[in-house]
Amino acid sequence: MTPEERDELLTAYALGTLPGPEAAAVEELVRRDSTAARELARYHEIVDLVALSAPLRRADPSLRARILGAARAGRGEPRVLRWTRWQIASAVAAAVAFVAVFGWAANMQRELTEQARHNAALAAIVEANAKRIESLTQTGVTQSLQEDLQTQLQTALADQELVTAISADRNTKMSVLEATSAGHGAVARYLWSGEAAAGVLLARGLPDLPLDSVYQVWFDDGRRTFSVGTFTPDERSAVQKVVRLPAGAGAPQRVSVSVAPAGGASSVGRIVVLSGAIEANPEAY
Amino acid sequence: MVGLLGGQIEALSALYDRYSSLVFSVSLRVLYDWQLAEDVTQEVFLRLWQRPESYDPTRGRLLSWLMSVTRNRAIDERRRMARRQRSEEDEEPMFELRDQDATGDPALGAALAESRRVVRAAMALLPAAQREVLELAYFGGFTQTEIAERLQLPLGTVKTRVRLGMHKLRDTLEEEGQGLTP
Repeated sequence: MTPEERDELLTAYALGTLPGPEAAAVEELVRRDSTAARELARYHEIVDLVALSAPLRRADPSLRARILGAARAGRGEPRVLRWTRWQIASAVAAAVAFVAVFGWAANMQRELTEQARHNAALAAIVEANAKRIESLTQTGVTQSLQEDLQTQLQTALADQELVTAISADRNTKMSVLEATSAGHGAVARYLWSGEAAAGVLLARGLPDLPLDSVYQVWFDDGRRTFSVGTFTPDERSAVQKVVRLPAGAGAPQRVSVSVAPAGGASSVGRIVVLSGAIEANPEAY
Repeated sequence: MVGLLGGQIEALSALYDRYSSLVFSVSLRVLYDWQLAEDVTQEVFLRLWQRPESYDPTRGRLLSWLMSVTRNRAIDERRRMARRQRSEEDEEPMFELRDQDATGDPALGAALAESRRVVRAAMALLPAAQREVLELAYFGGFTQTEIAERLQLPLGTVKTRVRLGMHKLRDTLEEEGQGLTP
């Protein structure tokens, strides 16, 4: 082996670009040649530095809260809740159920990285719902608003319970929804639990809606296509929406998101931004 | 790290503040997908939280461990997505990544920011052909054979470019006295 060939092997090994047999040869080389081992260590250090050349981008600020929230849940650190007394019974019931389920999920996370992603997504929704509940309970409530707030609170708690049920379902499936040309690079996933008869749509990078329009979610159960609700994205062009299966409908085989007039449309229409099949065979559960 | 081993959430919080932009940036550079890059970032930090002992300080610095875990995890994810999509076209970047702003991330600290500056300058000094193969290998996770196929070059040419690129990078960084900052 010439010095150049030896060097090519060491640099390629450090970069992780060598196939198995050649990689094994390098490992053998550095076991018996301390100079080669030192050179390889230095190349490894150079390779690690290459990471610093990536353009610097900061993650969405909400990621910090999600990670710390998941970490607290995973290791049982107490969470600070400042809800008023009358909501605590139901909210805590949902939260306790979630923490219990998340504790189970945390164990699974160590073995199944795919599931970690699912649970992270679900944890994010629970976190968002908890904030929503908290903001509702901290709002100065006048008599005229009380009924509306109570309805919103009940919806948030019901969503929370559904998310808990979805996270507890070992057969929950995750599908990646593909953006159409009208979707302009939007990214989305859909988690579906047959047991909970509900799912969660997570989407980001949704295009701005035309005036007086909404996004509408559609299920196709193999027999027909039907609407399961509308939404408008948040200020970050994202959405986390709990979607329930209407009574009498079959389990969805395909999920689509279209642009519809405010209030929703009776059929899918022409402008579909996201679409994807729900996998027959769940990958990770 | 001691705080992390003791289960102190403040320790994770401090590590996140210091390293998250680097972890996220590497993930994003590999995946070109904000959502997936956030997922990988979350996995890396939760892994450190749940299994702090998986980082062994005697085997290298924390930044090195974080970058290595992030890169490997992101490349795994990229390959998984490529298998799912079964389309080479989908591996191509859909947009150009640039630094978020000229000031970078103040949380990185002066030493890391200086390391970034030196490394980026060293990469910029490489001939474009050498930089391309190093980036395809590091951020793309491609083998030399795959790089040769993608660039329609003889395998020997790719090997030579990798070797020369690594040498030049090493020499430039050594001139700058550059090592990995803890």
